[in-house]
Amino acid sequence: MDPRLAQDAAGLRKNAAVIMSMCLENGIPKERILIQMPATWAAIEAAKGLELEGLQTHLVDVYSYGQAVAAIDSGVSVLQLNVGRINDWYDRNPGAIRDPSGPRETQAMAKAGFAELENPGLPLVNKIYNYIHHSSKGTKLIASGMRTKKEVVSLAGCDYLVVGEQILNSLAKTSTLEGYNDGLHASGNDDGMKAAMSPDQAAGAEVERVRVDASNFKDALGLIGSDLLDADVKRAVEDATRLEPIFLNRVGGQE
Amino acid sequence: MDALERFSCVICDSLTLASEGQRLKSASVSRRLLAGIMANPTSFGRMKFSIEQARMYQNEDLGIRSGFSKTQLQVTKAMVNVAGLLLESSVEQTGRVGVDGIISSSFSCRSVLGARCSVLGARCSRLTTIDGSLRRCPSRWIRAWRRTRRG
Repeated sequence: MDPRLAQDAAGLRKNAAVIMSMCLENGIPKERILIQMPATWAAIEAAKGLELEGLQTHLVDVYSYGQAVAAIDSGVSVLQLNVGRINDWYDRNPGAIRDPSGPRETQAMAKAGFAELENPGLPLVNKIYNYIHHSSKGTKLIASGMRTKKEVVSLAGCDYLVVGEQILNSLAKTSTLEGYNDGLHASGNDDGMKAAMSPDQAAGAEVERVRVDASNFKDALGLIGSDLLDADVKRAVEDATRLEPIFLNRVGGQE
Repeated sequence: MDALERFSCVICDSLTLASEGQRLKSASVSRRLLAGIMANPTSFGRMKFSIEQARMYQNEDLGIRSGFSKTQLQVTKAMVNVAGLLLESSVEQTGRVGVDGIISSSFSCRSVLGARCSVLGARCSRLTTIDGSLRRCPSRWIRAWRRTRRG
């Protein structure tokens, strides 16, 4: 494994070509394959080319708005944020400002135990969703890593929510007001849940316009993006390094 | 859950391959998944076989064109084989499989959708469907359509 290829867009495209060629050998249509890549600048560039060739790309490890905008503008099919990891990062870095546009008092009060700290990943999902729909981009947004039911519900409206089994079970057991006749409402359709985001809301929302290119991508990533993206990539490389010897020696497992 | 699924498509990140009888909406194949399959002593027989088959894979032309080593090609082939099996047996007709294509050439790649679980299971409601282009159809439309049908 050569870490020097980390920023190698051509290498990524070559790899995608290998996968697609093998898919053809196996009779798998390309429409049913998503090429997953971490959202590095090289991957964003590679994704742009792959999408133009008609392949669908799925960028993961998105942790900042600028990074997401760069990916969306390059036309990726699917973009995935892990809100749980974003919150973990802020927990590990208490000095980082969770909401630069919000009042500083909120964070101070939360630290003092008088308020609850909001997961900064949740407004980020909303912001990115608004950007996608405001700009009429075709990218689909996936939010994952939600740790509580409240977090999941607060993202209602996001294209896809990847949720843990425990929370799913808990959601399935939670009752809503649907079907409950309190005698005050003519319609039985109101179950008390509202979409936190929708294409209509997004169309009317104000979106922050940023222009991201190779020169300012690092700045667009920010400290959190750089930290988490590097860690993810490093872990993936370790996985790969571990796998190959196992693959060569012990494919049959221990059966 | 039904209320939430009216607005979003909800996917479980922890449905295992063993849960039979349930078609998955999407799945994701990665090196981590391959390692998991290989390390499992009791199940995934077909998948192990398809991985084993990949060890025999040879395509010199592809190797020359891509610059990949034989092992890199074989590991990629194993992922594609598993992806094919998932599409054939576990994933819905309109679902897709994500293939982790990056690691060998890029020092970059991550395993799986969601919380690094191997396979994503669909938990979408009966009323919500996803077509081949990953578009969401709100269940209220379907309900309205059903109401109209009932007259």
